[in-house]
Amino acid sequence: MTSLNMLPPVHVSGLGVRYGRRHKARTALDGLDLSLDTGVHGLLGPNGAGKTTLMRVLSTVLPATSGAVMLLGRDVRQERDRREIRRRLGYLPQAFGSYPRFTVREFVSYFAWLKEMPASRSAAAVEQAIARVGLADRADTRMKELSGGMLRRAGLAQALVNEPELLLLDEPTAGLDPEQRVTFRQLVREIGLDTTVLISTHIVEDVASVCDQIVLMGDGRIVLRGTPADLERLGATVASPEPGTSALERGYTAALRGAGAIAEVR
Amino acid sequence: MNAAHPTGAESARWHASPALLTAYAEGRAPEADAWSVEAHLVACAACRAELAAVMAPPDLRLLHDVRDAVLSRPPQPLPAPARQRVRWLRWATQPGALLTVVLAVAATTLLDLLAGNTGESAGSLLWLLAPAIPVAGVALAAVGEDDPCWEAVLAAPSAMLRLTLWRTLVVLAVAIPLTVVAGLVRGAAGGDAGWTVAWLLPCAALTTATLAVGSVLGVERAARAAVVLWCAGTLGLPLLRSGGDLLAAARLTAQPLAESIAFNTTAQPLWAAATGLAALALYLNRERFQLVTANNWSNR
Repeated sequence: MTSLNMLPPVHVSGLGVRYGRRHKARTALDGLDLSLDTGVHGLLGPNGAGKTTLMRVLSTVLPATSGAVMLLGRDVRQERDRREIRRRLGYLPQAFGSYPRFTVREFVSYFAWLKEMPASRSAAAVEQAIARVGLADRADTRMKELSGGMLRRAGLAQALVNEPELLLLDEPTAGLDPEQRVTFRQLVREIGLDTTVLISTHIVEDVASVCDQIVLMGDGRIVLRGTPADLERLGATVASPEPGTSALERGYTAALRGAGAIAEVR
Repeated sequence: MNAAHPTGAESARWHASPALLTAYAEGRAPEADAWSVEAHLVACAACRAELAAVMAPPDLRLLHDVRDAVLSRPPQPLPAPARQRVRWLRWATQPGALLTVVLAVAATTLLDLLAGNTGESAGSLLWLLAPAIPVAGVALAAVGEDDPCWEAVLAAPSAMLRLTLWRTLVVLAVAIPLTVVAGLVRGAAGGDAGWTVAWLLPCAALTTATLAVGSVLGVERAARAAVVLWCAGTLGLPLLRSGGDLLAAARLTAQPLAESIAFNTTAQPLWAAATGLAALALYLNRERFQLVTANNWSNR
């Protein structure tokens, strides 16, 4: 272990991302600080809060406008470091299609090749990744014949194939049926034992059952950090609960409203 | 219980009793005895024969079947390493790009034949456009935003550059031999050798320049621009002179390559230099393949 590895797997400080040119510029992330340790972290927030932008920056695909991003003890801005980070990274983007001509096995092998896995290791890793997402019986099926949920799981297999140390999942449960969601949660819990996992979602229940930590975003900043239990306690203090909402969901709403109030005072 | 657990030379004299073997065959033997019998059976053919004699017929049949299956169906060997080695070919081959190359070669050859560009001179539409034909394929092979898994591909280490280079190589590997064959066919139609290499260096320069410019503009856009510029540069004037008649223009291009400004011996070193410079620019600019600017996503 070198001294570089003393940093947490994800260490972001003063991160700013602006989209667009000067007068039409829009701030997506604004001076965001974030450190993540090993374990499963849930990234929550309303649409437009900057979750996907943060995921893209952490996946090293989108360069930051300002601030420093250190991943796995390396600096994303250095080309050599970035290449090493990418070898050890798993990323399932929000918008994720497929190659209809490819079979599931070819698709996952393709990503093993893209991630520069040695050929001696990749064949077994591909089989393992396919088995982990429960597609072993579909390994030779062409992707055009798969259902939406299966495609999502093939996407997950692609992210897992290099046994990443940092796993970024943007809306991974979209399109999965309830049973697949349960399997998915088990898988993520298992991976989170020795991996840093960040799951972006707006399904509050996903977070409650899988995540050790919650990162709540609003307006390009981090509004709240804590455990699912913290958010639930916050929700329990909120009066006049709307029918059919869980304490967690009320906590989520309350924290966001609180953030709005803070913004108004400023 | 079996008191003496035989070891070494002793095992040669000790034999399992018929009662113990029967109990073992029927699955009634105590665990410790069963282990002893199993260890002994491995070494003792006499007791194996004895066991076969006391076994129930259905069990014997089952054992036979299992033995046959194991012997007649050896375990499947792992995928041959040869398959692994050419794996990148599958990822780098874009059928659309190769089809474009085939069509472009076929179309220019056909125009040449129709225009009668088969005579003594080695000049033709085919050679004139040959440098741009692989670039047309590269345009279709480019990895871009229209890739269904673009973001995930981008997040893989140096994937964009590697993919672009491999795909370009595959296109070149198809386009160059195909062009040579087409040239031979065209020549044969006129009873002529019809063979030249003067287009190879311009082709290398144009392809490398496309990739170098592509690191800034995007490979697809750069390739399209390169094809249009090359066609305008080579065919523009003949087309104007013939008043837009493609066949007449093709006939006008039928001067030997060595006499045309783009392919003569003074131009060749320039093409070589251009290839080197473009390759250098591509190398220096390689990082730009790895990232996208925030503006690419501004309107999402």
